[in-house]
Amino acid sequence: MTRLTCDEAMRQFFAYLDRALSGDALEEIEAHLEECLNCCDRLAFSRHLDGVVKTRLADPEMPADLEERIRKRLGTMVMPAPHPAGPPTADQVVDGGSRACGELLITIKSTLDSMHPGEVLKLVSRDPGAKVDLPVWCQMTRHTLLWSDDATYYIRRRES
Amino acid sequence: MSEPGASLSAGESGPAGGGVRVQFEALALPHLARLYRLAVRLTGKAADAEDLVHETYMKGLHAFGTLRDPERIRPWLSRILARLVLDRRREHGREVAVGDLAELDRFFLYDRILDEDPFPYSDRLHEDFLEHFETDDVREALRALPDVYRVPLVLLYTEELTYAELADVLGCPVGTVMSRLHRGRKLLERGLWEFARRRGLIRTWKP
Repeated sequence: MTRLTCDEAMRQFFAYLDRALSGDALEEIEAHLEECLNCCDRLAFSRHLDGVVKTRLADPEMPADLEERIRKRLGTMVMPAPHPAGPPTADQVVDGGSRACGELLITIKSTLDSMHPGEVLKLVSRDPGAKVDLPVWCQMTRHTLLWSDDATYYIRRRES
Repeated sequence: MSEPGASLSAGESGPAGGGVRVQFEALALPHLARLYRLAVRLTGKAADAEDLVHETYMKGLHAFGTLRDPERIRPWLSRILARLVLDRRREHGREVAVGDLAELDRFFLYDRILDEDPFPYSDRLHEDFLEHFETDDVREALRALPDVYRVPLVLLYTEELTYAELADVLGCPVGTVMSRLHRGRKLLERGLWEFARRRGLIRTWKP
């Protein structure tokens, strides 16, 4: 086991406070605290400060009609129809690789813009964010997400 | 249509839209109050928080098929919400400049208070110092932190997540969570100290 200096101990301080340490790291800091009164005091202060911040966080009253408004909004959403039969045929293919969302959307947008209304774009993307972002993006831009699985998306270009 | 929560394999071949929505609402809406509170704490503004919650539920419904364990819907929704905050400010995944890190690492609010001794007759110096901060002062100091530090800290304080859970919510390694929570608290300590100095609570300034 390594003997920690105060500086080294302090680097693990908050992790110790959050009970995120185990094994050697935990033993080392406990050994340090046993023989360093100053660090014990610092630790007690940090714990106290944490408590002060926690109790002063905002505790807002939720607007009474928020749930109702969210229900309404969800009710207007068009859910993608399930296509158990399998993927449709694509007119164009884009491989987005693991490009992150912003960049990916720019690529898709310019490709769709170059396609004819009603044509289908097949997109391959391993970006985990795409699963959440693409359906919402399609809805906002009035394109139709026809079919998707883990890393493939079929988007039909909007009519106008 | 099946009972809410009975089947969640709604992804590819699930039931029609309305049924999925009913299931989603039954599972997700009971967490609305907590999500709203988290949203207010993360954004600091009621109007922003409402937008954020709306968007979280819309994204949640769309991605509902990807939720594997219905028991975990609350952290799953918190994750969508936290990502929205981080993505919106375009800071996600990268550190922001917070000045000299070595200098920040050497900053201990505890030591500073001890050195300055702003209440010479007090035997509970540190508590006295902290009691000078109003609720709004603390919130202000927290709001001043860059998102990459504030978001994990607020999540920790509000949701009481473990580091592993935070790593999952934030989509980064546990080591990154650890360093951001450390640095975030250091920045907060320094922020409070500077705040106190501006208030005239501390007369001298020893760099």
